[in-house]
Amino acid sequence: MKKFLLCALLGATFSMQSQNTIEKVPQNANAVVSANGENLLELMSVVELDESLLGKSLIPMIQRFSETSTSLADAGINLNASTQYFMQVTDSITYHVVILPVSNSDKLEVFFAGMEGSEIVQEQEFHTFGGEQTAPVMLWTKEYVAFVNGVLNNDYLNKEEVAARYGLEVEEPFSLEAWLAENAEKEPEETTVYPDDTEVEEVEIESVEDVEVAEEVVIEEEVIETIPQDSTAYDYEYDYDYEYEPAEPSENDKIKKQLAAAWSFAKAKEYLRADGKSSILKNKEYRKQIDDKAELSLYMADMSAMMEAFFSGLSGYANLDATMMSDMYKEFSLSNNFYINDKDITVKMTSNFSDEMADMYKKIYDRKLNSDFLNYINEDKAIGYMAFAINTEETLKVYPKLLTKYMPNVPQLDTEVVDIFADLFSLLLDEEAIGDVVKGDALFVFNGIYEEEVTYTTYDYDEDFNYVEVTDTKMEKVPDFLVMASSDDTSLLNRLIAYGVEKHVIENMGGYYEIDTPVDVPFNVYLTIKNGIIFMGNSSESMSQITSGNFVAKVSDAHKDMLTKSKFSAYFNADRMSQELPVEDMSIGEMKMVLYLLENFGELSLETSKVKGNRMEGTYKWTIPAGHENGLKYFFDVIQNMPR
Amino acid sequence: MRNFTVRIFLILLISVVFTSCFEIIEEVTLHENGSGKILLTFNASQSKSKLASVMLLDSVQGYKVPSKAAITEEVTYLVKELKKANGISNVTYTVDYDSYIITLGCNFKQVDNINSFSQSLWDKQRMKGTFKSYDFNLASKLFKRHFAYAPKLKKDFNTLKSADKAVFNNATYTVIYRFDTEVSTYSNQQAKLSKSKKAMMMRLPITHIINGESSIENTIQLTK
Repeated sequence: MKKFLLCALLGATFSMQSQNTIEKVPQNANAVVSANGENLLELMSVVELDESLLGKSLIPMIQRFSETSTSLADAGINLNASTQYFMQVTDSITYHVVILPVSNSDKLEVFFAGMEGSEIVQEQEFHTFGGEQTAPVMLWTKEYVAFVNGVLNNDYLNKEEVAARYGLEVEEPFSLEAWLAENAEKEPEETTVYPDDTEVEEVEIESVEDVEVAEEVVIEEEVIETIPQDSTAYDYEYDYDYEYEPAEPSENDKIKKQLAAAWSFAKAKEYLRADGKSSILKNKEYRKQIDDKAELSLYMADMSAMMEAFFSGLSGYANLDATMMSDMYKEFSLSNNFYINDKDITVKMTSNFSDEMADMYKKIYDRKLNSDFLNYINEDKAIGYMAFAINTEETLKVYPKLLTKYMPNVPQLDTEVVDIFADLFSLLLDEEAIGDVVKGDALFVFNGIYEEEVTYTTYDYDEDFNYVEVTDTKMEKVPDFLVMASSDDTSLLNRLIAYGVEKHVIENMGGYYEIDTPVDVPFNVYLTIKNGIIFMGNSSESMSQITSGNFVAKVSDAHKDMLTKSKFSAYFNADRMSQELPVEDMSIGEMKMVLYLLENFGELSLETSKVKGNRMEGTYKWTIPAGHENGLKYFFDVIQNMPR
Repeated sequence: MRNFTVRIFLILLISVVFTSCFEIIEEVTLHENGSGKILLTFNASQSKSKLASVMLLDSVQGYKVPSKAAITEEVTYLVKELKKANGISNVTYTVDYDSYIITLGCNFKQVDNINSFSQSLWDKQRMKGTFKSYDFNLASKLFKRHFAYAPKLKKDFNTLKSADKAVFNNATYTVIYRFDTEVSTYSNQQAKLSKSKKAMMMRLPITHIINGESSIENTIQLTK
């Protein structure tokens, strides 16, 4: 069955509109992943696929069962049609399903029979493997294959009336408290005490100072046990041939196994017989969010059912999370459309929230990145950046509301305690004042790597090899970064700086400050405040340029838009990184691999929109380096040519 | 997300930006009556940028990073054990986290006291074998620094990932011996004799010791 999954993966990547696998996906599927084989094969033909590293490793596997096979298409799967994975959650069972299109059922059966090594049986129009049916099950017709893995909801089956219906015994749920109490009472049956023959006087540790113990230690005569060289006292023998014997399954386990297999089997038939009248294509939300032109797509419907199924499936004490997570994800849906183009790979993400959550997010993201930040970016120099813009004041106001909304649903928590905590939170914090000090927008810029002189301690020896500690210097590669954050009220920070200067933990460098950080960090940290922006970085040169107004900035319109129109944005230029990366200390193999990956990575960017209506959108864009026909071939080229 | 970014940034610093290098100094002063003092120094000051980054993480390259408290605890454990050891006195230690230098020193009545202490630590680690570093014959005035090269050392070293091996690239091991009387002969030609002929020094790349290309073993004959 594992081998089938490999084929499903291949099918999922490359699998005609005449065989409409999407019609097999039910309207109420909770999650759907589609791979558009037709679109993918436009980017890379079957012949090209066969000649790729993937093809060359999979074709011999097909040839094992069908000697005349020369192509991946000879496995009997239609690579030119779409493949679907979907999940369907019910109160009793969650189905994970893969639907594959069949091009030649005879070839497919030869392949399946060879892989599974079992006989193929037919029941009505369905074919499957002979023998005892256990989940996951696999059924196929002349046109489609359905692989169905049913995962039972143990909490549901443990309900008295349900358990009685299926002849199950109700099982006691796991109780952490009971387990702790039970185990606390237990005394160890036998305790081996090793006598401590080294009575040690406690020594107070003074971390950095020298500790001298001048007095002679009086040693009492004692017998020191030594281990003879040929001692085998610490040799242990293990029985490596011991075979673990699994416990006999309980009656409940046997019934559950039968239920999972029977339900999965029945469901597989249902999916294969589906005529599209109630498919996911009838789901308006799906149609709205999923683009047929995308090479790959992911759709997750209202995630509360999925969350509940997942967490309750964990059994027992995870129920508290199941309830909370189900509530938090109510009416939350997600979709991703992957477009593989000539010059880039783009993922368009859409998140849909409930009215209430959308309202909260609108307030949280009600902030734009300070456009003055752009005066401190030089894109000719920057290797990457990351920026976000949230409204600190609104976030602090929303937080207690979230607490009071979701936490009381956790059975173990007292509603009153949660309410009091939320009120206290609001009472103690002056959200507006905090929002003035830290507005909530920030930008981190990674400006590359520069060389800095650093000091270290070594020793000077005289002609008699007496030595003294000396301070020497060496050049070290240091990352150059700059962080910016907006503030409408810098008075508190200014007072902190003044206090730090007075206490000699902050040094005034003439307009900017060097901070003696309480935690050891591997570089100098500088700080300055100018025009309502707090700057922190490790380049004194950049700080000096900022304070003197001589910073040379350069930002293209594309980056300007990405930064100022997004709530969260990020960018990374791998090629530039490869030019600055110190490789002297790497082995040749490592250097080749790191430089190959960076030089062939291209550029990565991410931007997210504000919340419009109940929806938030984001775009990941991976710009591939020149020299590749398209994004799909790019992947195959990179793997094929990777240094080995 | 923030913690993830910081972690990635730190790992980048550790893995590809900062270099590492350390030195170990073993300094033994031996008097005519066989007593003396020993001072061991571990100096990773040249790697302090890397170590400062490493110390901000829980683990690096699959190895757990010990906290400063755990390092100090290990050193003070050694100090406690040393104080209890037969013939050992005047135990001193320093732990400097600004420069990443650790020293440990003591006086001994005879070099066998150091051998016995090393053996007891060896045994506590449940390691097999004898641990004898020094020998001094009072009558013949012959001082020996033992070092039995174990090929397993090279084998184990070669199983390390290249990033882990790189830590040892520029690391050195220095041995310094001081005597009351002059050295007349010595066996290890990589050692240097001081102008006064009363001190010897040998600085070797640690990778040479691991690979068996060099040895700190030395037999030194002092003038009678």
